[in-house]
Amino acid sequence: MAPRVALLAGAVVLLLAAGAARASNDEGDALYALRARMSDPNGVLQSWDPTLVNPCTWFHVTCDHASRVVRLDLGNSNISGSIGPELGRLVNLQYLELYRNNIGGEIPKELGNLKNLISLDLYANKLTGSIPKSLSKLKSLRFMRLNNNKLAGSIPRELAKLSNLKVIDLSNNDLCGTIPVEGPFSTFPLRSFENNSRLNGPELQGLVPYDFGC
Amino acid sequence: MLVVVAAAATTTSFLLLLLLTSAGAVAGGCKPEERDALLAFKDGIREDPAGLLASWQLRGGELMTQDDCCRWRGVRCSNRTGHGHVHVVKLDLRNDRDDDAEAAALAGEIGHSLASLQHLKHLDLSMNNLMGSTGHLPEFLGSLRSLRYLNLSGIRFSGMVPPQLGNLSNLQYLDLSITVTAHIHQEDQSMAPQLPLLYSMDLSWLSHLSSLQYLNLDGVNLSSVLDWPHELNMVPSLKILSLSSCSLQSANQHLPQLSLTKLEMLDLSNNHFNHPAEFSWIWSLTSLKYLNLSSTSLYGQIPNALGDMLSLQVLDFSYNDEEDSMGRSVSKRSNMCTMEVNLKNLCNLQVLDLDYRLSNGSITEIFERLPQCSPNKLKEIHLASNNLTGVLPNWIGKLTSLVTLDLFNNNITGQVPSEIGMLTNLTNLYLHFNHLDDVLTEKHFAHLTSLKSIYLCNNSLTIVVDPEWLPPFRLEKAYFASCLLGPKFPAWLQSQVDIVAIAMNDAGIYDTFPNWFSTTFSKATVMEISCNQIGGELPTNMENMSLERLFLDSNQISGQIPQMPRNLILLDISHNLITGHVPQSICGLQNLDGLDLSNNLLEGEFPLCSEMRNMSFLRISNNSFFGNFPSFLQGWTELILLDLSWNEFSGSLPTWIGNFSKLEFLLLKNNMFSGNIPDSITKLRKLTHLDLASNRMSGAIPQYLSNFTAMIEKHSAVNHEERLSGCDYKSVVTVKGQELVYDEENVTLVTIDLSSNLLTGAIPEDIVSLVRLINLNLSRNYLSGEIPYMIGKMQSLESLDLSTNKIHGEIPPSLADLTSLSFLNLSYNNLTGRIPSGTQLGTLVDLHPYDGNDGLCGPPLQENCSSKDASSMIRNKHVSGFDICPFSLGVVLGYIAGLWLVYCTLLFRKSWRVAYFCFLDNVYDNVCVIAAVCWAKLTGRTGERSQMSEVAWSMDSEDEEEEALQRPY
Repeated sequence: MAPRVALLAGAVVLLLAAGAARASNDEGDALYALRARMSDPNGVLQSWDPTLVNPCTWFHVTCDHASRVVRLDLGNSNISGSIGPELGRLVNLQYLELYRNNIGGEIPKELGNLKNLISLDLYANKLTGSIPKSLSKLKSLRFMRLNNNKLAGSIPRELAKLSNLKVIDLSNNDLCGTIPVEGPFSTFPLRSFENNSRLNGPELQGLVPYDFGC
Repeated sequence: MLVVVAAAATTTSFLLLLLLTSAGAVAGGCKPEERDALLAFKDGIREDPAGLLASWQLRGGELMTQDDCCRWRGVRCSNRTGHGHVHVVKLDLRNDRDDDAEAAALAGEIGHSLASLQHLKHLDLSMNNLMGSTGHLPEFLGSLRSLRYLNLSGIRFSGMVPPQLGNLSNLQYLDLSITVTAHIHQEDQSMAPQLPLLYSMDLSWLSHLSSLQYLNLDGVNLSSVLDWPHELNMVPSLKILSLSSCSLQSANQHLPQLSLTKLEMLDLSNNHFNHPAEFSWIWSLTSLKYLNLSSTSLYGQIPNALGDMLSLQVLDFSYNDEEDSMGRSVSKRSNMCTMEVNLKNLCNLQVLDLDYRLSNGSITEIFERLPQCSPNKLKEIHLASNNLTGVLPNWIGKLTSLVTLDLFNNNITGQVPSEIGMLTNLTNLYLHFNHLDDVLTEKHFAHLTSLKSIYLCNNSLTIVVDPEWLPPFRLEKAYFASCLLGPKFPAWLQSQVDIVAIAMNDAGIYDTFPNWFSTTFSKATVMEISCNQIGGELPTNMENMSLERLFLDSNQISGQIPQMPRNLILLDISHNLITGHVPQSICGLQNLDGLDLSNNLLEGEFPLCSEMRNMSFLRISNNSFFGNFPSFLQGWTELILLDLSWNEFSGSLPTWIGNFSKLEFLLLKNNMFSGNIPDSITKLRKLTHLDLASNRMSGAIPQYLSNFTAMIEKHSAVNHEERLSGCDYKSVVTVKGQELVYDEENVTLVTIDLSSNLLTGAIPEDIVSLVRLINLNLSRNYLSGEIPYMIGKMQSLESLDLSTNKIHGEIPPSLADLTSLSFLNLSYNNLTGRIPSGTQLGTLVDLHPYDGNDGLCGPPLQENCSSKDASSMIRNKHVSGFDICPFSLGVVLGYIAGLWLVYCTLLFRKSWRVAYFCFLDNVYDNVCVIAAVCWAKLTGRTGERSQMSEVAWSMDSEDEEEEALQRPY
C-alpha cells in the first residue's frame, strides 16, 4: 500500500486545480466523448487531457480569445469510429474538418445545432445514412463537403435555405432523388453532385416528384 | 498487509523448525565425497562478491577438523540420517542483502556435483545469479530425493521447469518464484516482450509431491497450462499457494471435487482472468484466510459465496493500474465489479481492499454489509476510486479496530460523522477527492490518539477549532489542500512537531507566518502552502529545517529571501512580492534541483552559483534581473528548463549554450539579448521549446536546424521520473495568435518562437525536417529569401506566423498539404504569384493571412492573376534595393536618435503619426519598423509587466502600429 499512498500524495498536488475546474467545461467533455468514440492509431488525440481547465491547449483544437472552441482540425489523421451527438454541443464551432479519415456511422442530426459553423468538411470517409435536414439550420455555413462517402437518401430540400453556402460537394455518394434548384443551388455546378447513380438531375418542380427514384 | 506477512512467517517457521530438529549436532566431520561435491560446486561459482564461500577451502590435508565441510558457512550436517553416518543435510546460500541484492549475489552455475548430496533435506540458493550458461533450472535437482525444502526463488532461470522435480516426493516447500514487482513486470513486457522466463506447460508432476505444503511459482509463465486448477487440486496437502504474475488465462474451470481443503493462503494476483468473477471456483475455498486477487481482470458481480468464506482474514481484490498513464479509465472499465454481497458473517476479516475495483455503489450500503461482529476485527478498509456515492454512516464509530480507512477519489457526499472521532486506533484517514461538505470541529478528532496521516483535500470541508485546542494526535502527514483552515494560520498545528509532510494550499489563510513555524515544522520534508494570502516576510531561522520541497508560491509574501533550509531540493516562491537581490546563500543549497522565483519583484544580477550542478529547473521569469547571460550556468549541465524571460538581461548568447545536453525548454523572451543566435544552439538535441521572441537578436537563423532531434522524433510519453515532480513545467506560448499556457506534464508542445527580433537572411530550408513542430513564429523580423519550398512536410504544424518580414517569391503549393494548420499569417511580406488552394487553406482565409503582399493574386484575393504578374515583377525589383542587410544597427539607431525629437511628439498623437509616416517612402520603412518595435518594448516594460492583459495590449498596439506604417505603399 505504501506506493499507492505516495502516489496519492503526488496526485493531490497535481490534480488540485483540475477537479474544481472540470465541471464547467462542457466543450472539453464533448470533445473527450468524441475521443472515446475514435480509434486513433497515430495518437493525434493523445494530448486531449480531460483534467485540463479547457480544451484550448489540446492539439488540433483551436479556441477564440474567450476560450470557446472554434476549430476542430482532424483532416487526414487516420482516425476511425463515429461522430456522436455530443459534437452538437460545440455551439461556437466554426470549422469542423474531419475529412480524409475512416469515420463511419451516420451524420448526427445534432450537428444542426452548430449555428456558427462556416465549414463542414466530412468528405472522404465512410459515412452512411442520410444527410440530416437539421443541417439547414447552419445559417453561417459557407462550405459543405460531404463527397466520397456512402450517404444515401435524398438531398434535403431545406438546404436551399443556406443563403451563405458558397461551396457544396456531394459527389461520389449513393444519393437519390433530384437536386434542389433554389437559393445557392442555382449556382452550384453539376459536378458537385456527380457519381450518385440514383440522383436524377435538377428538380423539375411540378413535373417530377422531388425524391423521384428514392 | 502486516497480517499477511505474519501469517506467512508463521507457516514458514513451522516448516523450518521441522527441518532443523532433524539436523542435530555434528561429530566426526563430513564425508570426503560430500566435501568434494561442495568444492566442485564452488568451482562453478564465478563471482562471490560478499565472500560467502570464503570458508569453503582445504587448509591442511592432515587436520580433518579444518577440512570439515560441516563447519563451512551455509552448510549443516547431521548424523541422524540413518546408519550413524554424518551427512550434509542443509545448504543455505541465500543472498539476503535486501538493499543491494546484486552486490552480494553469487554468480555462476549450480554444479551437477550437488547430486552427490543424497541426504540433503534443505537447499536454499535463492536470490543469486546461478542461472549458469544455459539459463536452465538443472534437472538433476530432481534426484535429491531427501529434499524437503527447495528454494530457488529470485534466480532468473529461463526455459522449462523440469518435471523431474516431481521425483522429490518428500518435498514440503518449493519456491521457484521470480520476484518481479508489478511495475517492472509491465515494463519488461513493453520493453522486452521476448524476455525469456521460466515456464511450464504441464504441472502434472506436482501430483507426486504428496507432502507439499508451500508452493510459490510467482512469475513463472504458466499461460499454456489451461488446466492448472485440476493439477493443483491433486496436491491436497497445500497450505500456501502463490501464482502471482503467472500469465494464467482463466479461473473459471469446472472443478466437481475441490480437494484443497487445507489451503490457507492463495495469491493469484496479476493474472488477467478475463471472465466474470462469479464463474470462478475460487470462492469455494472456504478454508482460506488470505486471498489476493488484485489486478486480476475478473469483472461483474462479486458472488455471494464470498460471504461464506468465514475464515477469511485478508481479501485483496484491488485493481492496480497506476502504470496506464493514458486511457486508464478504458482499461479499468473492463475490470470492474459491483458488490452486493453480504459480509456480515466474516467475523475474522481484518483487511478488505477493493481499491479501483468497483464500477459504482453506495458507501452507505457497503458499510451496512460489512462484518458487524463483536468485537469487530476490521483493521483496514480500502475503497479508493470506486465511484461510490452516498454518505458515511454514523455507526462508523463501532469499527473500533479500524486502523486505515481509505475512501480516496469517490463521490461521497454529506457530512463526516463526528463518531469517527471515537476510533482510537485510527492511524490513516484518507477522505480526499470526494464531495464531503461539512465543518469539522474538535469533536471529530476527540479520541483520535493514534492518527498519523490525514488526507482531506479536495472536499468542501472547513476546520473550525478553538484557538487554544490541543489535538490528541501527533500527525506525520497532513494534507488539507483546499480545506478552509483560515483566516488565521492554524494555531493548533504548533503541537504537531512530528509532521513530515503538510499541504495547506488554497486554505483561505490571510495571515503571516507564525513565529513557531521553523521550530514546529523542523522535521517536515515536504510543505505546500501555495495559493493563500500569506503576507509579511518569509519565516526566520529556516536554515536548520529539514525541508526538501517547499512550495509557498502565489501568496503575498514580501521582503527579501532569507537563509533557506539547507537540504532543499525544490523551492517555489513564485508569484509573490519578494524584493531585493537573490542572496549568495542560495548558491549554498547543495541538493537544490529546481528553483522557481518567477513573478516577483527581484532585481540585480543573479549571484554566481557555479556549484549548483544538480539543477535541472531554473525559472526566474518576470523579475528585473539584469546582466549578461549568467556565465555560471556553464556548469549546470543537468538543466532541463531554463526560463529567464521577461527580465532585463542583455548581451549576446554564449556559444556554450549548446552544451546543455538535457535542455528541453529554453525560454528567453522579452529581454534585451543581442548578437547572433549561436550556431551551437542546434546541438540541443532534447530541445522542444525555443523562445527567443522580443529580443534584439540579429544575423541569420542558424543552419542545421535538423539537429533538433526532439523536434523530429516522435516523443514517447514524457518521463515524469526523469523530470522533477512538483516542478511546474507549464509554459506560456504565443500560438495561433494567442498566449496559451501549456501544461507539459503529459504532452509536449514543440515550438520555435523567434518573433520580434532583428533577424535577417533566409529561413533555413532544412527547417522543414522538424516534423513534430507545432508552432513556428518568425514574425516581425527582417527575414528575406523565400518560404522553404517543402514546407508541406511539416505535418504537425498548427500555427505558422511569418508575417512582417521581407520574404519574397511564391507561396509553395505544398503549404496546402498542412492538414493540421489552423492559424496562418503571411501578411506584410513581399510574396508574389498565385495563392495555393486547398481545403485547409480555404478554412484560413478569414484570418486574412495574405494582406500586405501586393504581388499576390488569385482567390481569396480579388486580384486577378493574369493582370498582376507584370506589375509585381517591377515592384519587387524596386524593393530589393533597400534591404535591411546593408544597414548596420548603429546606423539605424543613429537615424532614430536623429529623429527622436519629432518622433517623441508623434508617439503621443496617433493621428499626426500616421499622417507623418504616410509621407515616408520605402527607404525609411525599415527604420520605422525598428522604432515601432522599440517603442512597444519600452511602453510594455514600464507598466506592470506581469499583467497578461498588459502584454496583450502592448502586442496589439504593436500590431496597430505596424499596420499603420506598412499600409501606405
